[in-house]
Amino acid sequence: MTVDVGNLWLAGEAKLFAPTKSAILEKNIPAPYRAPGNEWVGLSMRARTIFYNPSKVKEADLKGYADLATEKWKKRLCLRTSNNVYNQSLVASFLENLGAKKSEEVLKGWMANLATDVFSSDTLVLEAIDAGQCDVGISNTYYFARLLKKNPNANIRVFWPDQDGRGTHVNVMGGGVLKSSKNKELAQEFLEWASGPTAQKLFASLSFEYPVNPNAEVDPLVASFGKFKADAMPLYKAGLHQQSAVKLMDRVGYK
Amino acid sequence: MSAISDDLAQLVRRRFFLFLAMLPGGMLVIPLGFLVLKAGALSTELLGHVGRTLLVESLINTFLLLGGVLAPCLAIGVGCAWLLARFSFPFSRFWRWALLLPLAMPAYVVSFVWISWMDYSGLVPSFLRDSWGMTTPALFSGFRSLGGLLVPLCLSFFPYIYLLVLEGFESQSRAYSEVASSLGLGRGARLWKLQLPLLLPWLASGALLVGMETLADFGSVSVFNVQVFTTLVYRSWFALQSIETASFFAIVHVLLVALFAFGLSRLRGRGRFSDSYAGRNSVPKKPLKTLAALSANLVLTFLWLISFALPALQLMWWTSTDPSGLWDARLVERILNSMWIALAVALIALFLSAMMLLAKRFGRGRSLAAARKISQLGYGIPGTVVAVAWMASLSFVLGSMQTSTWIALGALIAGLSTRFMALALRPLESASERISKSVEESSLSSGVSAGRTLVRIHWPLLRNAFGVGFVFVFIDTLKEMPMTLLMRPYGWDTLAVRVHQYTSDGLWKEAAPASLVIVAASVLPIFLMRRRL
Repeated sequence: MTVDVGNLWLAGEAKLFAPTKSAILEKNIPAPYRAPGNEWVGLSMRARTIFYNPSKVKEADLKGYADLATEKWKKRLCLRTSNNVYNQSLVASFLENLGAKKSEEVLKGWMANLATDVFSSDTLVLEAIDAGQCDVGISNTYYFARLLKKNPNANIRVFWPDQDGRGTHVNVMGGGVLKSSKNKELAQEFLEWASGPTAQKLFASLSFEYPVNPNAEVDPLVASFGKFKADAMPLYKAGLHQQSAVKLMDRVGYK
Repeated sequence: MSAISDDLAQLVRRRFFLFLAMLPGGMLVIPLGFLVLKAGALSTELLGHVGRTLLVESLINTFLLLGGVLAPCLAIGVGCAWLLARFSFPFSRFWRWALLLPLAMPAYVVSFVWISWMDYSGLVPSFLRDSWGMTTPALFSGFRSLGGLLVPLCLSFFPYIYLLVLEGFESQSRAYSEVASSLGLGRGARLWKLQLPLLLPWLASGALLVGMETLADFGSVSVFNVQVFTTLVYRSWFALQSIETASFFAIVHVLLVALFAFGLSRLRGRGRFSDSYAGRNSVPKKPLKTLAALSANLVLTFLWLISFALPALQLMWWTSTDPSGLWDARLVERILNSMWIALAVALIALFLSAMMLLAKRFGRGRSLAAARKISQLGYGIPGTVVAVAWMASLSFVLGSMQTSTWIALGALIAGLSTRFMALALRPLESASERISKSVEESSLSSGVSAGRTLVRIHWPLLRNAFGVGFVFVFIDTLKEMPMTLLMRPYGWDTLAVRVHQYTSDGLWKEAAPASLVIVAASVLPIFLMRRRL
């Protein structure tokens, strides 16, 4: 088990997973969150979305990821380092959805709009938005939930980007049955149990993530962020573009 | 016994000691050999990509960091050593060992504590904004940068220079100073024209240690998000998914370290001289008058507060506000993992060093001297490089990087032992040089067996050095992060790895309990050894 489709995809490429056939997994987990051959499946979901400081930004001014590259966000944007796999997967999704040329323009715009050097973590990005160092930033949803648990008065709001377009980029924590496993059947049974509504609710609420199973309940704090349209791109495609995404980030000077 | 079998026995014995001496060097050189093989399968496309994008910045930053850390570290280290070696004042005995306490603080811990204080949303700027209504000075919004990184690195590494230079000052004979002052040189002129040039070998050793630590640092540069060579190797492996590219830059990194060490050894060589007065009649300490003594104490207190006491207090504060982190069962598991690995590595490093000592005592020849030199290089090779080298070797031999838990742990222990062996060998060698051959021979010739001689003569004289070596290796293994992070088996964590996982998510408070355990476990041996320092 691991976080991020980038890592799951790499493990799949390294042929670490045994093929898995399971009607239960196919029923519980929507197709975009599984590998084409079900070698790995997502078990909980997080959105990598936009956060803003309501004292400085009007919600109506926000549109989507690409819009953050426009002139009006100059010196207002905060980002986490490109060493982080979540950002690599986000950029990989741009490469799939927007193509190489447009993706490069977006990233160049982001670099031009940075309020300060990129941060080493999402938590620091959120704290910088709260402190007023930056107006907008990108982070995974559960980091915001954790921050709210510690500091319910944080001056930060969620925005769901590209709702009239492709939707918000999501990613998964997931797992698969290893080829080297001594008990493949039991491992598969565990994955099937973990995809059921009870385990899904427990799973997602412990980590403040979204269940991948649409029939499972969302944690109240996470539900308070509101409903959103998720990008329907099959996640394994982000894996295909992972290396190109890193290279693109290197080229535009995204540290 | 015939002469032939005598010769044979001697030959076998010589071969045996040569083998012992080559063991640690071999464990270092063979993985590096596989690194070269792995780098041979390099994709020129990826190499070109890194060359066009990250390489220049990594090189420039690595050099800036090296110079930026060395210069203030030398100033602080030499300043403290001079003050404590040449003057006596109230509390000076306490400062002698208290200034070593920053060594108990891993640099990556000092780094995240300083960010939590000085970054825009940190303690100090928030206080200025909220309580005094100030706008945030640029100093704070730019703290997470190469310039800001110099602060925690320098505060973590200056004790290396302080310790060595203190030893240097105290081994200087008063004869020189007396001659100089009779020639009319004042105190300042004596320091610049006489004492500092005489200190060159110690300064160079201290600078070498600090430089190697700086070049090997991975944790602090990650927290500050500064791109240097260690992060370039890491990014090549994990982000660009190419262990071949990582191997190539790991080799370049080793060459950079070698270049730096070579430059310093030339400097050290120039200052080499034989001194028949050394250690005898050291310069007497001058008592400081009230005002000067007070200022000395103030300066040292300030330095000690920012490098050790305040970061330690901050860790305690975080831990006390949420003590649940201390009762976590997994913390106990990580403490046990950290402790047994540090214990194993310290014992193996001592064993290898003792073997090296035996080989040096009983063996002869140029290959032996070369083997000894090679084994000492380990300390200069960054943990990230050792890790890539071992993983490259394993993937070469086993055909995949998937290994069993025990193979992975074995490789980790081997890598750590070869990297830290020099720390154990150094005190053992200096102590053994003080055992004269005649003592040994007179014991043997008066019919005492070799084993008994070892127990009755060598052990009591070397015991102290074994203790010092053990403590150095134990502390450094406990603090070691990048090699353990890259080589540990799946799901197997140590305290240092956990600290890295929390800090890479910006969770300072959550990282505090594990950091505090590392600091406490490292302070204890320094405290126990304080009289020997």
